[in-house]
Amino acid sequence: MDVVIASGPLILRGLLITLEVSVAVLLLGTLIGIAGGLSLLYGGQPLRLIARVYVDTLRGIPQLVLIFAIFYGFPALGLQVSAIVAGILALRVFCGAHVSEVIRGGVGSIPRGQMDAAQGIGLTFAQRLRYVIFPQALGRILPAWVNTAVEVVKASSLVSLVSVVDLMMAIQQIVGRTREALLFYAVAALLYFVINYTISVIGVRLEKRYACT
Amino acid sequence: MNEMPVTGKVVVIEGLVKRFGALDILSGVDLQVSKGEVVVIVGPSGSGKTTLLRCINFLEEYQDGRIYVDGRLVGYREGGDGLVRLPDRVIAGMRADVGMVFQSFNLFPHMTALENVMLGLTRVRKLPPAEARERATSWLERVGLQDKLQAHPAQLSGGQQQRVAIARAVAMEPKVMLFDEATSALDPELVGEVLGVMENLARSGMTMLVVTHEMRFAREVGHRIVFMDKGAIVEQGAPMQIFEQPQSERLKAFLGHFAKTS
Amino acid sequence: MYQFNWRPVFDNFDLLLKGLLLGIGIAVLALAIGSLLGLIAAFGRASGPRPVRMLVAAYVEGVRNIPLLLIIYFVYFGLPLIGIGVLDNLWSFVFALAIYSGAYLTEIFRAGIEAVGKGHIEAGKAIGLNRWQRIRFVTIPLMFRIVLPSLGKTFIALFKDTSLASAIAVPELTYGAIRINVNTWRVIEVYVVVGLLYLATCYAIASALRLLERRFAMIR
Repeated sequence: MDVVIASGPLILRGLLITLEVSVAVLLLGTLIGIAGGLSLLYGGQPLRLIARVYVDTLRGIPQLVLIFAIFYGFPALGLQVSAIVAGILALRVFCGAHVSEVIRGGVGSIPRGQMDAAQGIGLTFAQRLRYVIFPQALGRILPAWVNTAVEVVKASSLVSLVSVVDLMMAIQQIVGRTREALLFYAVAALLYFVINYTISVIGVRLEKRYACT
Repeated sequence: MNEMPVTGKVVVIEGLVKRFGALDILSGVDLQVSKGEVVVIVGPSGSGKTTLLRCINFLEEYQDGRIYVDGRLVGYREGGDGLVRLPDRVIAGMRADVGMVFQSFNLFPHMTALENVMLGLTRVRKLPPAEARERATSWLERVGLQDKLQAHPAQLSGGQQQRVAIARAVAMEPKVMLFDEATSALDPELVGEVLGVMENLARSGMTMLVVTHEMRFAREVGHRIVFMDKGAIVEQGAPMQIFEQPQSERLKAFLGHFAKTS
Repeated sequence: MYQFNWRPVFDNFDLLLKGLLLGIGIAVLALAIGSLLGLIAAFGRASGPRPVRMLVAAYVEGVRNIPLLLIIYFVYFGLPLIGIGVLDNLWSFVFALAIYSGAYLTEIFRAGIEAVGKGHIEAGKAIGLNRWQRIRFVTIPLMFRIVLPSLGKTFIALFKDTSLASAIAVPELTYGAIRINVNTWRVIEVYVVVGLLYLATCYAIASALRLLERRFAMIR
């Protein structure tokens, strides 16, 4: 038990880094995803193509490879990046692709008739999106987005592989020192579980609020 | 200007052509509808009746011909060499003057009945909320749903939903109402309440284009029956004429499928 | 200005190719073992006694909310420290990936089992099949056809997850990239080539899957 208390600060610092990375990735990643999703849904030919290529390309590469590519590659091109920035950048790109698909799927699953009816009463494009399509899409997008958030938290552990001292790296260091594997891996599992489960619970709450369709 | 000097005609369609790939869905349709007239369009499936309706409020684009609603060319303007598509904002404004009721109701599920009817009034007609609410309530009362103002579509029967849909369309005070098989998706015992509302609307002088299989309604409420087949109008005339003395073979064959209604 | 030199990468192409094949092999194994786990867990959750159902729920929720990396470290570093030190790095990874995929597959199979229409099962009952026979001849074959698309997506995800094996020095594709980079410093070239290899492989698998789906998958 003393061991746990002694390692407390290190674990806490790691936890904060993990949360920091996750939030940084999710915020901009979601924005990128909204842009991507709208492009896929309503963009003209060139925009839609770019978004499609973006999403499909990232589906075929492991996140770790992009993290390494940016971390090692940018300096080679003259762009200095710290490990944590490289990790965040790479993960944002993936998050954006994820969220693009989530939005496209959410809106795409709304029956065609809704658009017809909205057009029928003379709403403009922007009004149709705002009053009819998006309120309904939200109920479908929210749970999927919460899933994305959980995936982001888990993926944040990859930054430990470029030596960022997040929760995963902190635990590894502690296990390396104290050999108390079972204990500390369990602590790590518990912490990740609590974070992600909380996110899921909030998601379910939010979904109930918006689900009437 | 896209004004047409045809007085009293709410809808004028000339030589309408709509293609889908190599297929002609509408192959040159001419139709004129006067104010207050109830035109019932019948025909076998695939005859283009629904497409015709959807072109009038530009839910479908068309390749050739002209559609005028209340004198204005629908969806396009006369460009250098043919039709130039109008911007979405203008089209949306035109649609406000054409009311449409769909086979699958298409009520907005995340809004109450009242909110469904009010949306167009506040956002398109730009009425102040109080006035919009008053008008919406009045129309919902007229279709018999005064106790269902706060209900969501999921809580309403099919017939009730369709009546809300009719109120939603007619509250906009359109120049013409389009009904696309409004009762085809309803259980038989609910059809009557919707047809009743449609009949009341007709008697109050609304210009209506109704695509339907309900032959009794066509006969009793329609001023003119239009028979379509394979993308063109084959025959049209007063109900008595069409039902008692069909001229074309195709119309005779089509009518033969319907049992005589007493 | 960065000077591009692709030779060193292509000189070592066999290393990358071997890593790629190893990655596919790992994914196949993990899918197989994970499917076994998932099937047992799914049936357990669908029709087992309460303690079994709770155990499965704990397994699924527990694993799905923690990073794969943690499971890998636990199996590779942790197990030896508590006395279970038989697995080398490759088999540790396969085992870890199997545990991870098992949790997802449990849910996939559970949904698949539920999706097998009651009508089919009743037809099985009507011709006199007993419980095990119904499971074997009706539920499982139909369920596989239903879950085929999800299985395919899982397989592609597992293949991408094999990149994490590089963390414990398993010589798959990503590890190959790291090695070539360390030896030649052709950073851009190696990651472009490796990225394209992953892309091409995922695309090939997805295409093969589409063919398979066309032949086998059921949309009830």
